Amino acid sequence: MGIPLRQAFAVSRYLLKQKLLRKERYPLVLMLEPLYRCNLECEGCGKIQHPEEILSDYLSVEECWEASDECGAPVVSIAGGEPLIHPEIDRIVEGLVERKRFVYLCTNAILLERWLPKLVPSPYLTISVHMDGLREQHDKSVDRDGVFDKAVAAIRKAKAQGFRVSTNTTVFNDSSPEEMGALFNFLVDDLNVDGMMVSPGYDYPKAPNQSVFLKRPEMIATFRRILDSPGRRRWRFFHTPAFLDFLQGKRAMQCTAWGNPTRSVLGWQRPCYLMNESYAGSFVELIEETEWERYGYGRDARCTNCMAHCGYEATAVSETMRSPLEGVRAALGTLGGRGGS
Amino acid sequence: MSLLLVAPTTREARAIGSGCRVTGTGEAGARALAEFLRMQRPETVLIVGLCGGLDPSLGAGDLILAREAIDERGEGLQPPATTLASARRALRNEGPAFVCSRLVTVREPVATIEAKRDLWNAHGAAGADMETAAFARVAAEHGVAWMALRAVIDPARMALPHSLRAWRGEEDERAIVRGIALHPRDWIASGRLALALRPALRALRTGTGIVARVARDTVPLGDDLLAVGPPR
Repeated sequence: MGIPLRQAFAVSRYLLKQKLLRKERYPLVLMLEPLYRCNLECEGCGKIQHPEEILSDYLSVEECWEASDECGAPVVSIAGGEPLIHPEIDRIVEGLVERKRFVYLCTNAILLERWLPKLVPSPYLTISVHMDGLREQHDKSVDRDGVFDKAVAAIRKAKAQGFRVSTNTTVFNDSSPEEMGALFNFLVDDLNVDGMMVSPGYDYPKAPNQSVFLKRPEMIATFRRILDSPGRRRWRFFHTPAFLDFLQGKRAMQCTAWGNPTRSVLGWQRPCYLMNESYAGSFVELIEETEWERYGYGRDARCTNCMAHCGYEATAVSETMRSPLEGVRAALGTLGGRGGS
Repeated sequence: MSLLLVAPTTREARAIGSGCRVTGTGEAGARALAEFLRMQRPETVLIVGLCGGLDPSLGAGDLILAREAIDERGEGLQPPATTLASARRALRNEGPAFVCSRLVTVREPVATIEAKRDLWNAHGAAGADMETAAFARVAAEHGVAWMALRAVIDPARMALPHSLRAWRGEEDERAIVRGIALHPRDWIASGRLALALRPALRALRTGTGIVARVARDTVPLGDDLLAVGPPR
């Protein structure tokens, strides 16, 4: 299966409600960053370059739950930093699952095996493991040997204990389409992950290695080659077909940054998960007072080479809801486990 | 500040009201603009008109305030940053739906949904027109600051009628109307376009009033004067 039916129904119901309420801007996925500290320093990451006092800070369990209540998004992606460094990550997850949020716990999996006994498998919880390539490529990307093997072992253990496990792959300029194809085959055939997410890397100005990022035309060409691979039919993506079309340049889309609002230790981040221009004190303030018309492809130079799922998947979901044909495609993708063509 | 208001066609200029000069389109339009600039010697020229939508989030009647005007090769010119920021703020405060983005200038109408998508992917321009980049270049050559405001008439997901693809200027319109009348396949697309015309012109009129006021009130400092650094 691709996106679980329970999640597909819940999200559809939520979207329908927003349409009926005629809400122009509404959240789909809360990007919850309970802390910025990480146990890796990946070459393409621009999230962790903060002063020590910010890296040492983290959101309390209650603050995380409040953020979810305030925002109301049906899906919560717990990112960071490395969320498994948070001393009470199990309680954060437990409270969100109790609220019937679909939680994606994003991790590099270094600490995952230690936390598995404290986490409870649930249809509302998906452990999302960062996987940028096969062994050599992944360890280079995260700048540490042995991380790939550790992640693979943790995924096997989590699957054996009944957890839903997905992976999140960032594509850089040294990710060859052939290697990406081999990775996806491995994740599906060997590890039997429940789904995969894929996105081009965002050119964070603070990332340690600025040479790894693709420009937009290169992203489109790379994704066309990846998604044309022979094994493609077996790959289960947690994406709408419309988003995969967009990555291949087959569909025009504009970013809907408000679809994935970000709450971190610094507040509600403006304007999006990838750019931190300022912080709002509340979710309502973020939605109502951000000058959204200033941001997006063509509108802000920083968005030129962004095709990330945190900006465009919400657009794709909204378009899927608008078009009956796209709705059928997405439903077939959910039932058959595949994304777009 | 003295302001020259120009639109490429009579229809667009009429929608704006008195004081808007008609330039025409293409190279003839650029020559006419150069002549207006020589005669009137304004400090700022405001280029207004309709355009095709490329940004898929925009609908008919949405406004595009140009932060850059580029040609098909991607070479671009930017309006003065201070005036642009003031205009953006004024549009935001006074309500019309708008974005502040790029405009790409093309030689012929962008007629198909696929062509619009490809132009969007290539340039990230919210709209396509047939004059802005050329007009901005003329203004720059005359040392005149420029601003541009366009209203979307055919959004990204609307294809133009086949007969309209030959449009290069107002002088072609009679032949185009005849072509539409003779080709039933064009009737639905033409009907949609006709329905979009009125809201687009109304939005253009509203937006032009706001941006023209700002352009008159703002001293167009060059971006070099805004750079922070020791005085030389």
